[in-house]
Amino acid sequence: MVGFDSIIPPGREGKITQKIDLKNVHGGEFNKAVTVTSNAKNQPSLRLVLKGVIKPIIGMTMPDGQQATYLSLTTKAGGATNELLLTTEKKDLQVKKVSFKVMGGGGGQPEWQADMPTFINFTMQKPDSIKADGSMTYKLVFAPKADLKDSRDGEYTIETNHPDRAELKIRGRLQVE
Amino acid sequence: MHRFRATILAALGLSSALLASPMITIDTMEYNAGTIREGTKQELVHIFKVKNTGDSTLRITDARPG
Repeated sequence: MVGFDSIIPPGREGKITQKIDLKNVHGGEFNKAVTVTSNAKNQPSLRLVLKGVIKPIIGMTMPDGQQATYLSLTTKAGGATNELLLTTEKKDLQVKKVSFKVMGGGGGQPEWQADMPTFINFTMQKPDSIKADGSMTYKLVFAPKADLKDSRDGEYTIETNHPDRAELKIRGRLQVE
Repeated sequence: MHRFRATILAALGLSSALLASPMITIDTMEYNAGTIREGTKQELVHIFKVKNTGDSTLRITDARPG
């Protein structure tokens, strides 16, 4: 949302107010621009940017430290690294359940089956240290079984005991080998 | 001679009237809000201050996201 003073006399100051809704921003960087159009001789159009970083209640990162936006797990033992790092300030974080739900069309599978979540086995390693900012990193190691007939795209749901983040969702793929 | 000077002054006056124009000046085109903890803010508000450093009225016709 953007508000602005429409008339600014010579030598005077005006305001352009930018509002960003953060309710659905769970983590990562944000960068929102506003384009201002005026009768100014020097710059009839100019671009303003409001940016920042949201530090998540539970951050999801890949083993290489990159922010996790997609999770690809494999049923093949010793295949791709079936790991996800969870960073939070909660001391006794627990993961209750991990499930995968097929998304985007039946693709040969009956609809009822596509609606059924596949439960993923996992183990969680507790953090061995607390970082300077008070956060800790837990390592989640997945061991999916071949419940599905073939590899599918979908969404993983990670249920936690965190009062402010009971559910983490991440798009991804379950690779059946 | 007087007539010549008057013509020049008139021309200068006319041209300055034609050249009178609004100018937009802004200190920070980009504002970095830094790190915000998730759930601590529902909304982020920032006010960009723009100054009209020209010599006629600045009219902002539109300001929209994007």
